[in-house]
Amino acid sequence: MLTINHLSKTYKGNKPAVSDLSLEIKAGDIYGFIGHNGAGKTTTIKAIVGIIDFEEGEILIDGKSIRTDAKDCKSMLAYIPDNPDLYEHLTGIQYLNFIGDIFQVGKEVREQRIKEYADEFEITSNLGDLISSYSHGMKQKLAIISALLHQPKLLILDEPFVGLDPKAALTLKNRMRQMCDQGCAIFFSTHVLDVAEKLCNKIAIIKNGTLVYDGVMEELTKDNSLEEVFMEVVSHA
Amino acid sequence: MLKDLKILLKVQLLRIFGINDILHSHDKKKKSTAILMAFCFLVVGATLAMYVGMVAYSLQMIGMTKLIPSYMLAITSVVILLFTIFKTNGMLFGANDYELLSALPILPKTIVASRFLTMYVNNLAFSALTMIPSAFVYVTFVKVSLWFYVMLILSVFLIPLIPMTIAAMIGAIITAVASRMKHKNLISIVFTMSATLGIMALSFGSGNLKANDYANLSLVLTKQLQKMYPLTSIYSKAMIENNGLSFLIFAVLSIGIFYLFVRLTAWKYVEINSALKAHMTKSNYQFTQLSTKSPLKALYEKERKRFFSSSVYVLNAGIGYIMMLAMGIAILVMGAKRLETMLNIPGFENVIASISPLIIASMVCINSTTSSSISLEGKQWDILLSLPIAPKTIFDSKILVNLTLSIPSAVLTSLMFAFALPFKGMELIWLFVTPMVYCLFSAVAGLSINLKLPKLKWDNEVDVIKQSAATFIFIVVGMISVAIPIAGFFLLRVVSANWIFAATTIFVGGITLLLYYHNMKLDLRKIA
Repeated sequence: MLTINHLSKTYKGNKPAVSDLSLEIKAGDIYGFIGHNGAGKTTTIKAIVGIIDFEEGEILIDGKSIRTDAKDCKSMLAYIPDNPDLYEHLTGIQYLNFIGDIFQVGKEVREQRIKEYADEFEITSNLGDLISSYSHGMKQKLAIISALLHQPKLLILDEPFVGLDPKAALTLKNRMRQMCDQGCAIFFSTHVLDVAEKLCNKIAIIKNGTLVYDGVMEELTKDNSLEEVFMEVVSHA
Repeated sequence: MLKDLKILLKVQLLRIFGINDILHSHDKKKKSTAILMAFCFLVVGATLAMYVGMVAYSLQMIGMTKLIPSYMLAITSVVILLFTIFKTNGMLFGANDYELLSALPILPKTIVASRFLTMYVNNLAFSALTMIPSAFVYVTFVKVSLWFYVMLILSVFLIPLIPMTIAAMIGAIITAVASRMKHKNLISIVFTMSATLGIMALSFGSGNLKANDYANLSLVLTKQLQKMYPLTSIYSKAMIENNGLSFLIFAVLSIGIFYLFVRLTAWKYVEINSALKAHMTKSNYQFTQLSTKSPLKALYEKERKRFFSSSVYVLNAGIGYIMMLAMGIAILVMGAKRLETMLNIPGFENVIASISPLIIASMVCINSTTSSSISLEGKQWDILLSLPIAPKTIFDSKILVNLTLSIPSAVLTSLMFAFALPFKGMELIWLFVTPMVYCLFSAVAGLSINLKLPKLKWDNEVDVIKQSAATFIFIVVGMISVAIPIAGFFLLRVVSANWIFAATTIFVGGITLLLYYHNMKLDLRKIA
């Protein structure tokens, strides 16, 4: 579903943010992406979803290049950023409807999904209020609902559990598993290693823009916890 | 307090003038934008200084040299007053860093003073550019003492204080009242617009010059200037008669009013800001039927709501259209001849009848919602980039919002002109076509400039709506696009006005098309 081949990205005047990174995420995978602050996680994610350009390599979504077929690629994916900076001048329902319009989700399906997800994340009563009045967690819930609205084939999440209350975090985890069972591919960055360990079937570790490990979670954490392995890998890589 | 004030002022000035970008950014584009901005400031500053010098020289030519200082004081003060009202809401209140600063051990009066002084630095440049060139003309024809120069330098620093304080007071009262109401933005927009139009009517429409008044024009103008800005008499006495006491009164009044305002605003600062940050939440949403739209219409709706959700955006990017309509109504109701008398502009009726299409076009080019529409996406820019939408759809939605405002305003104004003035044949066609083409140009050029000079990281809407390189360059480009054909009209007397309008319309239309198709080729990932 998502293929990253030799991705390299350098910001103007700085050292490389990502160097020669290659990954393969298949349908049904929940792929965790971990690394220190500034390791290159968000840069990689933003390149995947077409927010930033990159110098070298290619990113393919279901065989299509994000560079040349950006619109088709974006139709298949959903992205939840690390900071839910949504359109504060809209109400929650207006924002969801806006996303529904952009992805051309049919009226009935849209209404049914918004009801289902909003009830699940306990945000229904707030949908008529302006997003500017929402707390961080509520904005995060709204961003999650908007990402689920068109049932993407590929879900990209940057630190999705930050700001969520325990119940919403559990709901999201269940949703992710359910989507994965239905053939969706999920790629997400996190600093919460416990969550990654329990949720992901595959893991990638990035350090200073370079991928230092990628593979099956079970193999990596056979004898030690992910936290111990992570510390070991990043200190010796 | 002074130490904190210095620190806050430094941080705000570093942000506003992009000094840190020049000093610490590795991005060459940011540096070249800053240099371009500085160059534009220099060009506009030099043009303004020349214009002021010419106005002062004209006063000298008609024997009113002694009126120069008070005339310049009145004009400078009224312009500063009008421009500051629009900024107050964004600069003094409701800035994004309010919560950050409120949690720090800084007194509210220090925060208020720092914000006020940030606006003051901007106005200081304007004050210098009007007072110094006009004084240069004045001293060429009048012998002055050394004391005149001392007072002149001091007055450059003092002049912005009172108009800014009055503007900030009006803005603060409007904000305080609006912050307690449900529709804060709407109330703020209506009150600010009314206050602005009121000040303009009081300042510029205060004279009813009769034919026999021309014989004693100097006295009439002096009276008018006093009515326009009452402090002119004290200032005039200080500068012309070398009266130190008058200058002292002027200085004490300027500083005293400013100080009083800072104390008063600081007293209610937290309360006003808290009310502004508070949101009406009902938390009782019940599902109703949703309507579906095309991506373009959805983006258009989002963009339209963005425009009307911000009083700063409406007031600054929509003022040209309001002024245009006000001008149309004035021409229709009062007639050009009466306006000529009221405004004291000899030949106003002839000029307005001859170049109406370009006058309306100039109002269209005063502002554009598109010149800050990309920058205003700010942190939400990533949402647009991650969605499956072609850049053309995004651009079209922004252009359409601008056209929704500009085209009806331009057509209505043209209609009012058509009823009020005697147009015939092709003149009537250009009266409608030329402003409409300028509406398209204004929307597309504004967008192109903002795409070239985006500023997606900002703390305060005023930074991008009023003070960004894109907005500034758009105004310069817009003014040049109208000034050239107007100059052509006056210089090429042998060429019919219709030919000038036709050539201008075709040329501006062509440029608009070129820019529109150029924008379509842009890679949005590379613009930020």
